Amino acid sequence: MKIKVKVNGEWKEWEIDPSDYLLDVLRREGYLSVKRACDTGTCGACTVLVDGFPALSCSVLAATMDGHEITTAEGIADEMEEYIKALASEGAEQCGFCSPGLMVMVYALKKEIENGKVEKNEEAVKRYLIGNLCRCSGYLGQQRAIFKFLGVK
Amino acid sequence: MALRILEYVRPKTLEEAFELLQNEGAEILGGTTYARLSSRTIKLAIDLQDVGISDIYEEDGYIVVGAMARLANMQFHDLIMNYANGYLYDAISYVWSVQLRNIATVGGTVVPKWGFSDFITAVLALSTEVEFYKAGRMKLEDFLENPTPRKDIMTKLLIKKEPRKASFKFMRNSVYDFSIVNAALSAKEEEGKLVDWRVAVGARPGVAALSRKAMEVLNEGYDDEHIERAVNAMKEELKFADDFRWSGEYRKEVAGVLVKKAIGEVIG
Ligand SMILES: Cc1cc2nc3c(=O)[nH]c(=O)nc-3n(C[C@H](O)[C@H](O)[C@H](O)COP(=O)(O)OP(=O)(O)OC[C@H]3O[C@@H](n4cnc5c(N)ncnc54)[C@H](O)[C@@H]3O)c2cc1C
Ligand code: FES
Ligand code: FES
Repeated sequence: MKIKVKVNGEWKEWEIDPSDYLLDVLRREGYLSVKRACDTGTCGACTVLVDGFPALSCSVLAATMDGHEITTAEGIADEMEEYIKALASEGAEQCGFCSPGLMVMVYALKKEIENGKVEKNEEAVKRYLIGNLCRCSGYLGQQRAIFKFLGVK
Repeated sequence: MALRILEYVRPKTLEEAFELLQNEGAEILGGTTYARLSSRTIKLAIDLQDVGISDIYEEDGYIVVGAMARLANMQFHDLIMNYANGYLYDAISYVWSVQLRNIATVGGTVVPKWGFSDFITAVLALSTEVEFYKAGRMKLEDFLENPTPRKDIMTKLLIKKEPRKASFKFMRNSVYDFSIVNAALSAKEEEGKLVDWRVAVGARPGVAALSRKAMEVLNEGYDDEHIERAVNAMKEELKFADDFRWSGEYRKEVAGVLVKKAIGEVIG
């Protein structure tokens, strides 16, 4: 079957199998920032934005995405330059496998804070990001970088 | 083996979706998050996103939540945020992660009657009904206690909009884990009194159930003596069982503590 999706601002038409998950299709089409780790909805490495909201691409059937808008880490890298710098200066990355999914979440979180849906404090930020696991860093470097980027005191 | 789908359809109306569902091997898709974890073949996967059951609105004294509404849409909807002091907003926030709540649907969460569900326990503690396309409207407790309507489509969850005070409690190994046992309570505020108590306990590990005996005791009164009796009545009435996480005996004791704490919060 065919689907039409807007990925990082550009409409694409892809031939997919009805059993394909969005993660499989995005990686096959070259969006390699989208990572497969747990493949069960737990780790957040596969996070992308669907119509502006973060979603687990490993758990969304690609067929259901026909007509929808998808944003991957590639699509927001320019806007997130300050965040990437903060990650580097806080020594927050080790293998980096979790970083693109986390970056998409931090991008969404910033918008939610600006819209008044999420409070700008330590507790609220940690709860928003609970679904992004990192097996290397111990989270503290990432936490420093995220608080710095969002201006959380 | 993973989930295999042979054919995918996106009908435009509920009538069409219902007709398609009568085909052998046809199944409804919600957010596909849980379906994803199973290994089976679906001959015809029916996506309900275009049939018009995704909205959340108020009607005839009820907050109506379409079965295709995402848990996050429900959590952040003004009707939900402003109801019972944000009780459901808070309870839904403990369902896994933001990324999952943005996909998982209300129908996909209620219909399978999963024992571990936080959502079902939380809504069962309110005056809640469900509506199916063919089987019609029924109380949530009747839906949970009886066989699920076969080859039918859940269309709505309906929460009675009445002045209620409510509390949701759980025990889990870490916040980002499934509840090992959970409890939710509510009571209606009427002329300065708390009446029509509802006591729901879930992840026993069976699906959430009401303790009607505890509700009876609390409807008589909610001083210390009644609270003690209500907790004991709940422990006697509901079944708690062992699984790989905890023993039934331990669950029962913890459920007692959670119910007591929740009563305290509702009384305020
Ligand atoms: C990793 C993970 C962690 C989770 N953690 C929690 C948690 O902490 N707390 C909690 O409460 N829940 C939790 N859940 C459950 C979650 O909240 C959802 O209930 C679940 O993911 C299913 O939602 P869905 O819309 O994706 O359903 P789907 O997977 O699409 O569907 C599930 C079933 O419901 C049927 N169905 C869907 N919609 C309808 C309808 N309208 N009418 C009839 N049948 C229908 C489908 O045919 C299917 O059999 C978790 C789920 C996952 C995958
Ligand atoms: S790969 Fe999707 S949540 Fe882990
Ligand atoms: S840096 Fe390795 S998983 Fe996060």
